[in-house]
Amino acid sequence: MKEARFPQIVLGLLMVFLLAPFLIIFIASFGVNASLQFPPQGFTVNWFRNVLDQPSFVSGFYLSVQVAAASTLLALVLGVPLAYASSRYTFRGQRAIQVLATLPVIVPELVLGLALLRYLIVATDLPLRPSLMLGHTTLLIPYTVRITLASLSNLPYDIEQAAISLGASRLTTFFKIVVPNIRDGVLTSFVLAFILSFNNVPVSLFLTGIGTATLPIQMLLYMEYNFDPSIAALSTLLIIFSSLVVLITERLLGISRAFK
Amino acid sequence: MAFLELTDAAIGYQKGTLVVDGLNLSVQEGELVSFLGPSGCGKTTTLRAIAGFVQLQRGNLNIASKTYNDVPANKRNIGVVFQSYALFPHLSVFDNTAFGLRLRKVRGPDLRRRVADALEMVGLSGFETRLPAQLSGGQQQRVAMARAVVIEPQLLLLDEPLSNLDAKLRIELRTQLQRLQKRLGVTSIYVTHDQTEALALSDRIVVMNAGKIEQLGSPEDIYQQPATLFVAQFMGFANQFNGHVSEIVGDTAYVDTPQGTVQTRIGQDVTRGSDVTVAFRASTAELYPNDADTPEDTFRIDGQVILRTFEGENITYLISTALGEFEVSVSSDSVSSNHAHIHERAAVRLCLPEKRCIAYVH
Repeated sequence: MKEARFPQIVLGLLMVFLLAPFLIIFIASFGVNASLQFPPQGFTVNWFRNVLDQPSFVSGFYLSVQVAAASTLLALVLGVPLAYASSRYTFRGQRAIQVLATLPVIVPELVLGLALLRYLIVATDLPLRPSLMLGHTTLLIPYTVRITLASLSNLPYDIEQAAISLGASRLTTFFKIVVPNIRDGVLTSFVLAFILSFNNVPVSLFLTGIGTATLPIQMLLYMEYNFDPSIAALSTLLIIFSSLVVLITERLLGISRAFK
Repeated sequence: MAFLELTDAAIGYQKGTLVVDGLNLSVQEGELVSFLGPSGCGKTTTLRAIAGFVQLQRGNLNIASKTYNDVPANKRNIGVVFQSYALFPHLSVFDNTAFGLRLRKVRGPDLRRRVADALEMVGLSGFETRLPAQLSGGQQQRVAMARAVVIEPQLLLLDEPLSNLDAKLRIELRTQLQRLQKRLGVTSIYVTHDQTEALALSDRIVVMNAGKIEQLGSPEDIYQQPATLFVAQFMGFANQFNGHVSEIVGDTAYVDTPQGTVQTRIGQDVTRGSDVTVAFRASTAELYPNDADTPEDTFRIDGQVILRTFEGENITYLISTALGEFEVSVSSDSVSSNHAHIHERAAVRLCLPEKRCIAYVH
């Protein structure tokens, strides 16, 4: 049988297109010269060492992980019930809630960030850390709601009614029947939301300040004054970190089923 | 008092728009009653109200002399079988079947025995560890039946349970369901749009249309003596023509038509002077070449064959007459004698035996 050539070529080009920037950064991060260069000259791991020596990067990383974890959990805790209610019940203002939950995706993130700064931080004097968490939650809710809604639409309501007719309360039905069947969707939105929050710049830009800046913001600040391969080294570390998050979730929870 | 009483029930999903209005129904203990009707007639809505998934907006639901209006669905002890099977996708056949029992705190050997009994009853012993996705549609519906009856419900509701299956399996499962219901003696309500299913399974049939009961009776009654034109059409009275009732003697109406007078049986509300629609089945009429001798005491209509369809057991002729187009089906075994020469475009005579048609007001 003759192998189909064309799809293989397209696939190959796609892989190059996706992976080449990463490879360039990866290779450049080992260069000896103090400015980012490709192809690099020499070989050193000093830039990696420099990244770990920068207190701003380390504190930024911890803050980013905290904010991502908290806002993702909050977005799930709010988003999953919201999605469930709006798909299973009819009530006044249902449409409005659905639209509101999706709106942050349509509004440019810079506008969202500015609005949060003006009306959350300035108006209520809320400290930066909880502001960041709330701001990111706003950003993430549309994703958790939408993905959960999609999984719910694969779970016919008949199934829940069957459980109810067999004697299960609404709550029991939700935890014993609904949750196990939308688990994959919830995990998908967890990973997606975590990474979205972790990498976010536009919203964080407005909600950070001295001593409270997420890692992407710290990177931005660093790049204003330095253009050495440290940023490439950090990017490499971050890509590895993101891959680890996906990989660990995959190993622990079998998330790959969610992408089928 | 009957086992289940639905009195003056009004049911709707939103305030103001009622799907079912003024429905009265009583079901005896152990009986299997079918709700039969086209989609949107309110049969499923009524079933859902009995199950407790929809609230009654007015009226009363009594089961075993107790008011159920405000009893939540999970406290009604009613088994429900859905058209979509509605098995729990993440649970095995065993766990699906055991779901209701576990909620009733049945545990250990007792649980295993009852689940095994239920699965054996539907012929699925040995499938305990399978997931629903690994079963065929027929097997899934049998699990759903086992799951519904294992809790020993006081009432079993079946919402078009066989509609998603192919024809052969449908009959097989129908028979199995019938035997299961008789064996358990559980009072059952069966919703369907398929009159064959309703006729075969039911002790009584409720024919519904536009949220109201058109007729309630035994399968024989409904089939032989449809009360309204709607029921008649549903029961295969495919042919109709118009006329005027000139006389009623006993249970016979004399209906004048441009082709003469036909003696018919009487549907609901037909009186002398009524303008009526006369309906008859495709199998009622006899067909002759128009030069052949035709039997006495029949209503004769001359016509021409437009279409002849061989269907194996039967041959169906579409015939154009002065009273309209009629479908006549003839057993293909009897074709040899009278019908050998009846081909398309043949001139024919259609004979309706006395009192085989029914007249309905329109």
